[in-house]
Amino acid sequence: MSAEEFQLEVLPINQKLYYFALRFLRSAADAEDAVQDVFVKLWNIRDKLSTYNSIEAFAYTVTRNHCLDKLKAKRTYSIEDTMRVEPGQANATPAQRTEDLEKLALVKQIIGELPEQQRMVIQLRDIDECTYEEIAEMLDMQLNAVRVNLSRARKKVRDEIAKIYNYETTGN
Amino acid sequence: MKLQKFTTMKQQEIKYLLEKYYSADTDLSEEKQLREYFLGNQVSDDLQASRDQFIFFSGLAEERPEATGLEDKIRANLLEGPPVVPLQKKKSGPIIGRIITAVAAGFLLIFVVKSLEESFSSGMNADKLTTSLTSVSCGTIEQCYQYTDEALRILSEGISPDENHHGNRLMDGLFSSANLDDKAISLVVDEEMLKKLAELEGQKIFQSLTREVSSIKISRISDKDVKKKDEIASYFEQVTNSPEAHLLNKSDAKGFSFYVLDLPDNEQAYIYYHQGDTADLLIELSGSIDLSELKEYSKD
Repeated sequence: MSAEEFQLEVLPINQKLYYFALRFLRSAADAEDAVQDVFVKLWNIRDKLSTYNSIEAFAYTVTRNHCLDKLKAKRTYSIEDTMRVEPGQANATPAQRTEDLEKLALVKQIIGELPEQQRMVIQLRDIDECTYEEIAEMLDMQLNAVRVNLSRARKKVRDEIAKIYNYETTGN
Repeated sequence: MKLQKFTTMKQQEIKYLLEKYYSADTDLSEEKQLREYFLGNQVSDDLQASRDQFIFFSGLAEERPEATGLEDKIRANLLEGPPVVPLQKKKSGPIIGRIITAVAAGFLLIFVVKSLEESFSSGMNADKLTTSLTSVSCGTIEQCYQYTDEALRILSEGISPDENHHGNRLMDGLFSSANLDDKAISLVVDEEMLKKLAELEGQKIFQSLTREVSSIKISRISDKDVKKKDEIASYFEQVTNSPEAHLLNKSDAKGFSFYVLDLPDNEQAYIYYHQGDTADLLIELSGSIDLSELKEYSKD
């Protein structure tokens, strides 16, 4: 693959890989570094890239492995990095905003405490809006396992919110 | 009046979509519909938690950090930067990784085949069959995976999703039941199915599985004993309709279906299968695996 083809076909997926890496590493700076490293790897084997059925799928695999290695090297990563609370809607009253911020922090915390697979799946779906197929590809999981994990994660988040705010739930 | 009717219909639709959402069965446009509804409407108390969930997911999406200039950095690094270092070779291949992940994730499936009833009307020697099935170990992880896969493939043959059933009858000759007392799930097979299972690969497939809190069993039921089948079916029905356990039955156009059983103490059991060229049936029980607690199915 020529440098030009690489720029046209491979380089554009950097944003997708970045969000994917972000879900693992939970830090914007680390995710950027990871994606740059991944692109060095892809660049180095650009001659072989066209032999893969899907370069994108292969790139996810490389990114996943790279992120897992990073996490292993740095076992005590902090969830605080992505737990910072950002200002909410500008037109809300101060009281509403405080409440919204509290809730936002709470939802982040609930997601942060989910089991790894559930956390990855719910973030990739409900925040990043990936399709089930993409998630299965990204995480090297079976499609049905993606659905099962997602279903559990969504229910868990809802139930935790309900528990904390004393809402009644339908319980399904 | 009209408005009220409209509102009710809309709420019905939202509730229906929510149910799909929590079963991970909605597509992205349906999820968008839900998000837009919750952002623009107040809801009744029972939907409040779901509303918060949607609102804050979109909040989280909005504050997702942007990677500005990342593409330029990469381009500069690769095309204009110093020569890049060669790629190091990965130690393990994707297939091994997949298998290990599968095992680690708790997809270890082991079957206990044992007699459910004293009498066994066919000419087949029940004890001999039982022994031969339970005494085999599966060898390497890869073999184990392969055998399990094969067993599940056989099991899934003939499965025909039937919307009128609630999962009690998975297929002809294969029933499933859950026991809430010892948190066990049982697959009950008839003689025909058992023969199929027994004929597999020199009968080397079956191992036993018990987890700390759950167990999975394949048990035999006499084909002629219709009463027993009905009992199991109704028991399963009863169990899954009880307030403590919730059964979710879903299927889509691709022939993918699964059942989720919520057991007490936050345990869940899944039975799911896919029909197609690579049909498989997977049974997963949550809870930690404790192989030291291996035990055979014992007759009541």
